[in-house]
Amino acid sequence: MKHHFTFMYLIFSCCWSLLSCAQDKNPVNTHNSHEVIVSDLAIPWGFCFLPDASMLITEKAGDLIHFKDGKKTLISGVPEVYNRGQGGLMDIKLHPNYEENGWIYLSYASSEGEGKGGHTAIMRAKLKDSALLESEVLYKATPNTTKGQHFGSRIVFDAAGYLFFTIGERGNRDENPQDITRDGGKVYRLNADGTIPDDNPFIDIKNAKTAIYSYGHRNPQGMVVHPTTGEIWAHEHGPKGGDEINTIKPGKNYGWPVITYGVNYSGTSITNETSRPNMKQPLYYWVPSIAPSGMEFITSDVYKGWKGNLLVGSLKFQYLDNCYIKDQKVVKQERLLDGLGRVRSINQGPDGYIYVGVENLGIVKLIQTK
Amino acid sequence: MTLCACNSSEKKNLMAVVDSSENRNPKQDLMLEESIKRGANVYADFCFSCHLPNGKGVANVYPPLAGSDYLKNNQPESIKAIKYGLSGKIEVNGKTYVGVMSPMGLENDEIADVMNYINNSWDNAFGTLITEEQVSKIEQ
Repeated sequence: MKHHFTFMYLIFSCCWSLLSCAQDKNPVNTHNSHEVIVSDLAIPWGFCFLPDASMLITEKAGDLIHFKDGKKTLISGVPEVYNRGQGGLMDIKLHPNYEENGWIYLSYASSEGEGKGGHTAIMRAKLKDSALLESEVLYKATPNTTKGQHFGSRIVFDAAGYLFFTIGERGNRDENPQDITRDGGKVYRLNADGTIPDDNPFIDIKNAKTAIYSYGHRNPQGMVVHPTTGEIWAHEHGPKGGDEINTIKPGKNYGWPVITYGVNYSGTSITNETSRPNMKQPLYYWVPSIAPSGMEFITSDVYKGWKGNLLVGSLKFQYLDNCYIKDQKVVKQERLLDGLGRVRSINQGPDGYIYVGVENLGIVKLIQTK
Repeated sequence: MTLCACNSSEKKNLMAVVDSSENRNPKQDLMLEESIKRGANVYADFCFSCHLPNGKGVANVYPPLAGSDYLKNNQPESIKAIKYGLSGKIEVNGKTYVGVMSPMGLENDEIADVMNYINNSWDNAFGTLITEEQVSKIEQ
């Protein structure tokens, strides 16, 4: 009798979850917990560790916070941000030779330039006594638009010292991503000083935005350099379903919106094509969408069994996705920090531990338990 | 039409601002219709990845707007939430939601338009016309 009740309950709850919004099937890994390191943050969009192990943290609404010895200090001289929808102050990254040159890089939504609205910009600056100085805008995408969607934007440096950043397609799916004469829906590559590398893939194409490195993207909010191959890995939000992980190659077309594994939020179809010969297939895609933000490889020895894993934050399902990678394939996924909150940013700290920015919470340290 | 259980004078003032458009006429009906059309675009750009195109939200996470008793009975608070954000605990259709909605950076006219859209979409018929002027008077 007891088994019968349990069985019926399971059937009922499975049916219920199928009727409500699509449930993610990744199993929960219970051998983890967290410690809150920086509390009371609304949207910690990006963060980095300074050489003294203190942290610089961006709040999307526009604050840059220096967290040191348990205290928060607001940094002045931060660019004015266009706080609109998904846009605001976004990623922060130190130059690989920060200790020598002092450059800090920021991505943010900016209303500078002509026209109402805004678009994504990249700035570099130096930090001195709680202020950003010598700031230079290295890139400002155009045209400004008042749309609130898809600003991107992550920043990484590869081993050669090139600056890569992403900009989403700004809600203009049918004009921006497939057109290399327009900004938006792209991964870009610049020299660290903002000049265009002379071997960029579209350097000789008339009217092309020559900073473009790859195109056909929707809204990438995760990017990381693979620790052994040096390849650029990025993930991006799909529409309803169709979030992707891609390895980013020069001049390649990643297909949005011509090919996708997702549909419109309303359920209607965008295209019935999921592949084309001249467009790159994702390394992995999620259906249903997990709404990925933040991306980091575990390279330290701190977590038993997880070294080499790729961590991806899920905004929608509010967990840290622990992806086991073998031969450039995601072979297994587990939920860590399940239900903790909207995971926005992830970075491995100088102590080898993984630090996670969780919206409406703060920055937590991932702890593996027995 | 709008019910208000609270009896603070601040809330009465807010209610007066919203109620002033109670006397409808054909011109206002046209304004409402056009506002709703603009509001649909605002909703699609800023609201529906959480509250969904069908206005049902996500169980336990994002409250519904379709058939929402909170929206129906808390018009000034709803305008304030869109304008300045909302955090903490609210009750919608008998369920408690604890969360945070960040302000979307909308202009006052956009807030009026999206309010008119959500008030009059799905099966909602909370028909009072919300205007930009009314929105501009609502303070944090």
